[in-house]
Amino acid sequence: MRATVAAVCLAIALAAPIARAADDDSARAQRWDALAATIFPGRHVTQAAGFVGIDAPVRAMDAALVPVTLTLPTDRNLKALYLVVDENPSPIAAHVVFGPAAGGHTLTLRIRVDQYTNLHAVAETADGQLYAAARFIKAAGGCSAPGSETPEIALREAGQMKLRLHDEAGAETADLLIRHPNFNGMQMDQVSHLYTPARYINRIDISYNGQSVLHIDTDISLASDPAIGFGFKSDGTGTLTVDVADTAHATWHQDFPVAPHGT
Amino acid sequence: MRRTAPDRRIFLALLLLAAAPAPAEPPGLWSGAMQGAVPATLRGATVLATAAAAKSWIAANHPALIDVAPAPIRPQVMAPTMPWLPPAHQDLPGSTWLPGAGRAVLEPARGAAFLRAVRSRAAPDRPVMVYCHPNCWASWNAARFLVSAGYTRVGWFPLGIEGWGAAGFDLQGTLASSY
Repeated sequence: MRATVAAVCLAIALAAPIARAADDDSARAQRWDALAATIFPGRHVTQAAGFVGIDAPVRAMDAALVPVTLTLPTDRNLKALYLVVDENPSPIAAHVVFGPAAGGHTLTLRIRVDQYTNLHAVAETADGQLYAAARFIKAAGGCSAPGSETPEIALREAGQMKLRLHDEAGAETADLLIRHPNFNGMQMDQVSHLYTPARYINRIDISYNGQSVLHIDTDISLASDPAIGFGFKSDGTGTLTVDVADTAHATWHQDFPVAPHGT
Repeated sequence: MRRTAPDRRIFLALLLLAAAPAPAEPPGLWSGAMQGAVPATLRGATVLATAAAAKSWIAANHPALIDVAPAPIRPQVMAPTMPWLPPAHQDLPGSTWLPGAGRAVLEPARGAAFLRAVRSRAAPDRPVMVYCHPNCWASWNAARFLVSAGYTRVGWFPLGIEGWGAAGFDLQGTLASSY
């Protein structure tokens, strides 16, 4: 067999080679413009630093598990929120649609970061305007980092959930943890050295007493074992319901009682 | 605001400080997680610990530049409507990008293919410089593999693409080579 090596034109070749430094800010701005045009075709995205506050470590300890806290505007006339990891191959980490029972002012998530990137939070108001805020994060390798357990164990426990409720400035907030390895197809099994096939959560629905709190479309940029912190308009009683689906069409459902405080 | 070169050096220094302590060299190829703290040494190879050291070594030796950074793969189960937009891959000008070679060498057939790809660019007595990203075992493995395969002038640049860019040196868009 001849030892020739043919250059393959990958579908990822988006641009002609340009000599520039990797951390060139204008290149990041160009990348964002291209992403915004793809994700929000034909719509204007207003750059509004601080419209949504983004708190995340500038230098993440674990690129596969970067915690992000979003502070939503107090006048929360929000329809939806897009969390975009600019330099990830699949940039949309989450598309969150707020339901009538949504409340509170913070939303927390954990994401994967493949290389140094801007993180954009784009809020969509009820009248259809888009406002984008950004934050730079230094982390690399989050997409190929293997899980902490074997794929078999991780999948056996997939769909197990925990919920912790707490009261915060009048609004009820909840921390939801969903067990799932969120395999992205780029992680190698440490024993077999084969890539674990992609299988990840792609939909999370949270409702309270029959009213939607959050509908979240997620993707491989969301970290394994999704942990979501959110607020909701609570009567102090009733049921918080969580429905989760993954790309293998598995679904999980769990009800969590909401007890009056002080009992 | 555009960053100036001194800022880049500060970032690089922080990058080094933030790194976990370097582990000892494994006896053979590393088969654990490909991302994590890497050894400070590589027996039989020249460690190019800074971007400046790598640049001087390149200028003095004119090595074949082998980038072994992994390439992203679109999951087949991903919804067709979901945007898949991997950033254009950038590496050191003049490099050959052989994605995932650090893992490939763990498998005999793939390792042999990697070796053929490198041989078509440099004979075993010629200099070769291997790199990927910071904290990326792929380049350590690929460099160790070449040393074991008889390459006598292997340079290993552990800070890789980000380290090069952070030093203010040019990077260039590239396409993957199959092997």
